[in-house]
Amino acid sequence: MDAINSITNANAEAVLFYLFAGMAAVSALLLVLSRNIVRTAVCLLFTLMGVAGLYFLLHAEFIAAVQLVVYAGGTLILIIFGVMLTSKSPFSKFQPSAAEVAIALSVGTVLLGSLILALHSFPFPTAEADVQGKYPLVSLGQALLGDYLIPFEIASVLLLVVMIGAAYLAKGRRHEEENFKFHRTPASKTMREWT
Amino acid sequence: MPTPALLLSIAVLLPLVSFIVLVFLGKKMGNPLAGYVGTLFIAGSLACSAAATFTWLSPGGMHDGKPWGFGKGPIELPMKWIPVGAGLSQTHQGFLDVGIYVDSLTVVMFFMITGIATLVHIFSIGYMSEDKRFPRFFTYLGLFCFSMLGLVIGGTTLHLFIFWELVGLCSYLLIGFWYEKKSASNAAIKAFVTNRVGDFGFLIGFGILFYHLGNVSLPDMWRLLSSAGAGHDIVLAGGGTFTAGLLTIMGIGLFFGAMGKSAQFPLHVWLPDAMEGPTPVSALIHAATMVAAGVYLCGRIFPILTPDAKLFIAIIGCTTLTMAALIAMAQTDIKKVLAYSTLSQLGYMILAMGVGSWVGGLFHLITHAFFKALLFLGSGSVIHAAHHEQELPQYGGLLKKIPVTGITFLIAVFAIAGFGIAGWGFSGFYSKDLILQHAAAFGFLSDHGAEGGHTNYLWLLFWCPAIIAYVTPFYMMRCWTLTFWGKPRNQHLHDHAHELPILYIPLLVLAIASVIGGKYIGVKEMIESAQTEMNAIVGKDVFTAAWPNIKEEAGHAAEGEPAAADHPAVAEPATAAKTAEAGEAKKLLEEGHEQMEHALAGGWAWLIAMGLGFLVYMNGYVISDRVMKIPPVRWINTWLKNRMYFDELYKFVFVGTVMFLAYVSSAFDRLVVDGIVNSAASLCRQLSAVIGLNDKYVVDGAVNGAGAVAQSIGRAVRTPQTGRVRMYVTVLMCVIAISIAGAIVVVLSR
Amino acid sequence: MQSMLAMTVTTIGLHHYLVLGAFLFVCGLMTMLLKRNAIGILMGVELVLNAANVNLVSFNYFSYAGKAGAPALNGQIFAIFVIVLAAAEAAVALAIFLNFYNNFTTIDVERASNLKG
Repeated sequence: MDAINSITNANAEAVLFYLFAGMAAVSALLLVLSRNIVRTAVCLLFTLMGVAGLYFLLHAEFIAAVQLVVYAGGTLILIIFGVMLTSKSPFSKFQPSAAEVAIALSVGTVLLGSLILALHSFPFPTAEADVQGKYPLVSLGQALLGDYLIPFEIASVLLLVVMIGAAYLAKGRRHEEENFKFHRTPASKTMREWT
Repeated sequence: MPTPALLLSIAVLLPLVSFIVLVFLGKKMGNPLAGYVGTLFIAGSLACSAAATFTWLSPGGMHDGKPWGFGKGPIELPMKWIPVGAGLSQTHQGFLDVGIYVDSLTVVMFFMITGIATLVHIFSIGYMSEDKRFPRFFTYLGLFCFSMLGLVIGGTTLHLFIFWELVGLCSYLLIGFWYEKKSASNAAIKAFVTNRVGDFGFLIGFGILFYHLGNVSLPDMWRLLSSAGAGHDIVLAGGGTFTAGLLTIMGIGLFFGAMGKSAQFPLHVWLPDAMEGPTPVSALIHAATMVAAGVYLCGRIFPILTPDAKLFIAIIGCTTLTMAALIAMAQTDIKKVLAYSTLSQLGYMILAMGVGSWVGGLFHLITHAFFKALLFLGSGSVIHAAHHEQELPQYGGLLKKIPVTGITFLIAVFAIAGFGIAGWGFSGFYSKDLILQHAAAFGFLSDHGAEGGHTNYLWLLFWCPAIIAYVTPFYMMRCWTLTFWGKPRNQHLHDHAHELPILYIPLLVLAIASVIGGKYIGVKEMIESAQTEMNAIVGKDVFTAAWPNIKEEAGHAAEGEPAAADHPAVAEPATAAKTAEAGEAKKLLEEGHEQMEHALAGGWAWLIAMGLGFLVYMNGYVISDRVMKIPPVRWINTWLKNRMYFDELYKFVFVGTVMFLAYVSSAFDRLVVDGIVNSAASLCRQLSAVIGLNDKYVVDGAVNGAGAVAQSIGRAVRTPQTGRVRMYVTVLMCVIAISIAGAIVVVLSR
Repeated sequence: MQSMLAMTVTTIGLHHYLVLGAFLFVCGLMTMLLKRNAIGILMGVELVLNAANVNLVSFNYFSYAGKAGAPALNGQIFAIFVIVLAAAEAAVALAIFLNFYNNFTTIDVERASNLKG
């Protein structure tokens, strides 16, 4: 009975793994192939969600939640705002040249091939994972405020610096904006075209 | 939750609801409607308070014919609030508590606050009708009532502190309500900053208390520190000692908060300036309720005050009441006169707390609230009639034009003067007599304590208020006479004066309260029963313990009694000593009453002083101008008119100190730092002349050579620098891919 | 052989995660190479960071799972820091792109060649 159970569990886990991994992989591929920047962003969203699912399978629930909230919820929205603010027509397409595609494909193939080759010839441990019911959120917090306190604090300072820097950069210099005013499309017009 | 506590909680929350509703919908409701909504909510609050009072006094709640709790006494309801570490609370381990404490004093205060607030709301509908921020005014009033009621119902120290600060915020908002006026916004800032100074002391006291006991509820605080009145160290139950010195500092620190809110010397400077706010605000905040918060706080911390702290409080109160009354005599702005009279009366209350007259202080708080609200609303009516002219020299003869205001104002003047004949009088009579009586008893007590001598400087704590009891009727009568009597001094203003029913109806209600507030509505009895309730919580009489000397004199019978006092749990003073104490106290009070009768000319002080005030100012400024010709009088008048130069003094001391420091540091900067820098600079110049030679020949040669080399290298390298990011990335990736692939092939093939 | 293959398919081990990570990494790399839109390149970078995160978390899981004692969480902590850095990087990069767009009215990175030698 136990054996059956464990097999069923293992199979359920495998199914979920393939589901999430497939979702991540397929949308990553589409991300590469897509020519439309908005569609690219949507693909990225699905990749991120797939990866978050994998974190759940790896019993890293906290990371998974952070992935969904910060990445999918925050960073991606930021990127989409960037898309909206910077494109006169959001469906702008910049076609890469055939040579570029060829180089990229060959580089990608070589890298992927050699990586997979390396993975398959290295004997990684295949421990049977059993961490049921002891997800260490508490230890995670203690580690963050204990061993990793200084990196943690530095990260907060970094975020502050980034906030100030990003605000400063995005604000731009007034007189230069004046100079380039005639180039620019008002944001409202962009929105109208887009919708 | 027992019924009175429930009703009072609703009474607290209704103004908050009003605040929230008006914040979001106030602008849409517009001019009269927002006022009606605010008034409706506060009236609901008043109804709840009234209902709570009735349940409190219902037959179940009587004890020996006196009102006594709700069946079993005061209601304590501490509630868990924020989970924190252990050891910060007495009731709920690991939690910071907020909560409710209701006793007879709370009930009385609620009735008074909601009552006056309702009248002020009604008055404001008329008074503020032309203001463009009418809805916002009622929004702020709602928030203010919420904070004040929350303060009064507060059952833990933290709860008290939170609402204490909220009250301060509301006063800032309301004083600066007409913020376009520079003087108003300055006054608001002044009030806020002065209150911060006081609250700094409050925080220190609170911190000491918190360190020793955590966030205690009020009854727990009294229980644990009940023997503070004896002035000894207290051994705490959990180990550790609360030393007497620290207790004194804590008491004085907490009192500092009260000094800020109740505008006691030397933090009194904000209150007169706060008259820049709208007049209903002055009535609500700066006469009846907020400044009362300080006295209320004193009342709540009274059992944990040491004798030294009480003496400090008494001296501060005495100073304030004397100073303020003197200044009030020379002011020409009607609201400033009232402001200083408020200060003076607050000084009486604080003095009462200091000399151990708990009932007297709080009783005076309530009665004063009635007649001072009446005075302020009356002055509001006058100002409204006079088209926002506030100077007394512009008034005169208004009685015929605005009779209701004039007569109610006169009633208030009688009440504040302590009008009383043969033991019957207006409200101020009873409370002020009680305070003076205790002050005299305190004087006799200090005689007993003094070594051999029969007089003592502590008698000043009686004589100052006794003399000021003559001054108060004088300046109040001066104010009334100059406003309502004599010939009009500004004919135009006089011709256009008129009064509105919505303005004088609240005045009539308050006039009735001022007349009967002392005797017939049971205020004093309620406060006395609050005293009994607090004694019952502690398990002994903390209010006679206010006079440690009595204890020492009467307590000789019970040996080792002070030791027992250190452990409240086992403290059960011997009955004999208790009776002796009571007898001693009674004797002292009788002596005190007699002394007071002498000092107040057998109870006719009010008549003498009021008569004098009326006669001098009957014909306007004729007589006083003549008296002012005498140089010393003129000097004193100028001194008083300029508020004893306190503002200038503070400016000199605080601003001057900062300026002086700035000057010193700038001088240091110029002489020392600049000197060092300059000499270093000249040294550098000498050195650089030498180095320059070296530079010219050796370094330049090297640099130029290097430059030539770099140039040729740059020329060679510049070709692949296309500036195209993607090309860089591509090249980078190609290199990485090739090297990784190569490395793997090498590793695997081995 | 049959059962070995079945095992490989049904029992999910570290290899599976690493292969996925490698795939995501290469996808991100190619995105960087192929997109001319600066924001597209940024998305490629995000993808690469995610690939790294997958590796970190799966190494953490398979190295420490089932061991006695308090769980070691170095991998997860690193993943958290990577996410923080990615967010910061995205914010700064977007600010730079906005500035770039303000100055060149385009987001095509090919146009950013003022520094060419």
